[in-house]
Amino acid sequence: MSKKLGFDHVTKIFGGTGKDTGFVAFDDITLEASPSEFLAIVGPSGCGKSTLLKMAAGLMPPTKGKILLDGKPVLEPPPGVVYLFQQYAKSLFAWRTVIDNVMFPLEGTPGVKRAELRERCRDYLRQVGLAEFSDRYPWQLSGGMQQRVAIARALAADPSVLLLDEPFSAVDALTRMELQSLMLQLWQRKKFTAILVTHDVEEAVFLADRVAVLGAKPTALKEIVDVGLPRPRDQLTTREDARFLKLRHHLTTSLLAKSAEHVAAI
Amino acid sequence: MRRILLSMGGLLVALLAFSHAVAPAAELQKVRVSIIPINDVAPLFVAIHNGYFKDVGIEIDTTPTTGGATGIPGLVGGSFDISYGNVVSALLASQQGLNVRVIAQVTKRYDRKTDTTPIIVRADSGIKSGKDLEGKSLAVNTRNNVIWLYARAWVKATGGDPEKVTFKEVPFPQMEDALLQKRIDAAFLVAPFSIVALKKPELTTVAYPYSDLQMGVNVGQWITTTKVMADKPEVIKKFVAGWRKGVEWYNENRTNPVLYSIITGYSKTDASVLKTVALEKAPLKCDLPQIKTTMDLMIENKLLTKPLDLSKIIDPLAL
Amino acid sequence: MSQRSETLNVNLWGFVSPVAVLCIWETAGALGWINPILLPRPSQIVLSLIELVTDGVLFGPLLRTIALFIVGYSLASLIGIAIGVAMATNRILYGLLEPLVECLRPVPKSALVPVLFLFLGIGKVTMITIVVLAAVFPILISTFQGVKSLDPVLLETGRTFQVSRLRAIVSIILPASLPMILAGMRTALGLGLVLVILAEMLAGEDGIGFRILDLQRSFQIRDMFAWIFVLVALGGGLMMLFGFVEQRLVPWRGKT
Repeated sequence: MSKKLGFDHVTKIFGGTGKDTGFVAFDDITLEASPSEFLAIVGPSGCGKSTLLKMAAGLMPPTKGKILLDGKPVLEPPPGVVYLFQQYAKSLFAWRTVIDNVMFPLEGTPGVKRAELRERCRDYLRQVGLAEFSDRYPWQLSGGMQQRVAIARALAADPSVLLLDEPFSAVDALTRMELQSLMLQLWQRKKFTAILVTHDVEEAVFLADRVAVLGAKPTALKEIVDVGLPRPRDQLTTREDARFLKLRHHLTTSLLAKSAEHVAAI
Repeated sequence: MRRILLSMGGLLVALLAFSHAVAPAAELQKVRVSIIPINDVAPLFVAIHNGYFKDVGIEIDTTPTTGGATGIPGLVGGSFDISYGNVVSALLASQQGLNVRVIAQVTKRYDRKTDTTPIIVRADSGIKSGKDLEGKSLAVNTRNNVIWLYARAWVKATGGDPEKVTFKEVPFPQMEDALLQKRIDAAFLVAPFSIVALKKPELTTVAYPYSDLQMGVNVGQWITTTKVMADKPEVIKKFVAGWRKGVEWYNENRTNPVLYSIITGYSKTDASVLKTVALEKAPLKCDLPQIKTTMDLMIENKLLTKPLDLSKIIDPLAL
Repeated sequence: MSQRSETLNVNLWGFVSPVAVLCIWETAGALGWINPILLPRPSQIVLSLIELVTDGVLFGPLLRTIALFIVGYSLASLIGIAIGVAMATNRILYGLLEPLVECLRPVPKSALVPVLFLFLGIGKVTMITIVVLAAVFPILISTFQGVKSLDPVLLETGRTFQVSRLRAIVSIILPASLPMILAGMRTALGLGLVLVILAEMLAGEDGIGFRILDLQRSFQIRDMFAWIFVLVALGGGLMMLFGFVEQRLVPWRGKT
């Protein structure tokens, strides 16, 4: 399979040029996602997963190595790649209504009437279940609803790659499950490549086709696991599946072992 | 901490006691006088210089202001005992119920030859009459005073409409620069600033409003309040007496270099120019008929609504 | 809506203290505690004020002062916001302008007035310049700080949607900094009005400041106070108007 987005021997060092002078966020990571694949990246907190994703979004350059999109290096935020922020509340525009927020990526599209664009946005809002809230302001909505607005806005940009940075970590468990199901629906409908970064092993296994595991300090790719669970996934039955539980056990051990190692090192 | 406070307190008490002991125990009574640093008040400084006030037990403390319209509020507010003012400001204050009293006349126009209060313009401006000033600006030291009133009267008398002239407030010492820098088109100056300004070839005289309109006009006056007269009657009498002696010396010594250096001292202009002109005589008393004429002019210009009883404003001391 | 009545309640309470001051003043005057010539009673001042209106004398100078203020304040806002955004988004401009801004900012602008008279003369241009100089700095500084303190997430959101620099400034930076900008503009409102009055007193041909000075010169204290009341009402009115505008422009303030 040709790769859609790949990390090619990517290293990131903050503050300094050499491995001894700066802080090494991660070292020599090579990883790729295929078109329309749902890839999850898990790792302990502070291991640099968000940084990895930001580099894929073109928001930050790698110190060494390159990010490739359709074979071309990513230096600037490329069209077709949208980054979904963890702090969705700060990412939404408080001065715009919900529908105007969703309109943002579409504004200035040449040759299309504004009314038609608005209708498209209303449709995206319908897809995330927020059609009646078009004229509210973000601060009038709950956390889960705000994240859905952010998702609708991301969809409006018609991305070929959607980068999700712990998008559901700041909501309660039930809302999280709703949002996860919503994300799967949209992904299956739109068929974009999704790369999810999370510390929640269960979420990774539930959503993804493959799960990449990052180790800590220095962060490196430890292993990639094929999820192999049937789709469509279901919040109840999939989570009780034997393979699900096995994967969960394996990945959690992998993550915890790293933490134990980390503790021992101090 | 307490020790520091105690010692500071002790020091303070000691200082107060010391200063009280050192101060001449009510020997020289201080009189606060507001002045304009112009020729008009030269006799005052002569009197200070020659010790006429010290001889009668008072000490003059002068503060410069821009004019009677600014000095009188200070007077009424209690910052001054006596203020140099002008006949117009004094009458306006009386009209508003501020109990001012004129205790001495300071200036009077005697002769066109010794009139040193011209309206000056730039030589190349072509302004020759009040009509020429329409749409232009004329500087006065303050509005609503004698300078402003007679400037308006002159504009009217020479064919112009005073309502079409803009009167800007500029302190006397700054008028020359304002003219040269074209910030204003004309200025009504007084000595010594008028004399200094006319040394510049770029500036020329247009008219002498006081001489042209009302020879003998009473212009500047020493003003005080009924309250001060009630509280310090002896001080006022001594002031007027000392002032009169200063006037007499001044009138006899108008070409004396000592006079020039005195004027330089308080006006901060170059004394040498004063040698080139003949200084006007200073009056020893007020002329009620002249003041009445000015009052009529004020009524005509809508500054006063009706005639005032001058006997209640001009103190017998001034007559 | 509860929001509307909240605003109304706050405004009503705001009137209590001035009314209390006026009552004390009136009583003190009536009891003879203050000199009625130097400090007339509010009731007498109000009578003078009514005369001003009925004689038709009020509106000319009032409109003149308002016009001067609006011109100066608008210019100051445009310049302040433009330079503030420019300095916050462009390192070179910041380096060039920051020393100048830091030198001029702490100087009380009334101190610069004589200098301006020397260089620009005593005309309308100078007066507008005075107002602009007074009002521009709070707006510039607030804009700068507003833009600088923007959450980087907002800017990165713009970047991930590939917005151009211009679009980022117009559609993200300006609206997001609006609360801070308005705070600066509120401060500038008071400062600008003070200097309008000062400019009118020193070099004006009419206006509220001119009238106040003129009446002081002829010792017409009561009429002078009437104009001072007009000035206070103008200042208060402008502040209230500003408050309403602010509410409508930034409804999200303090609510995210």
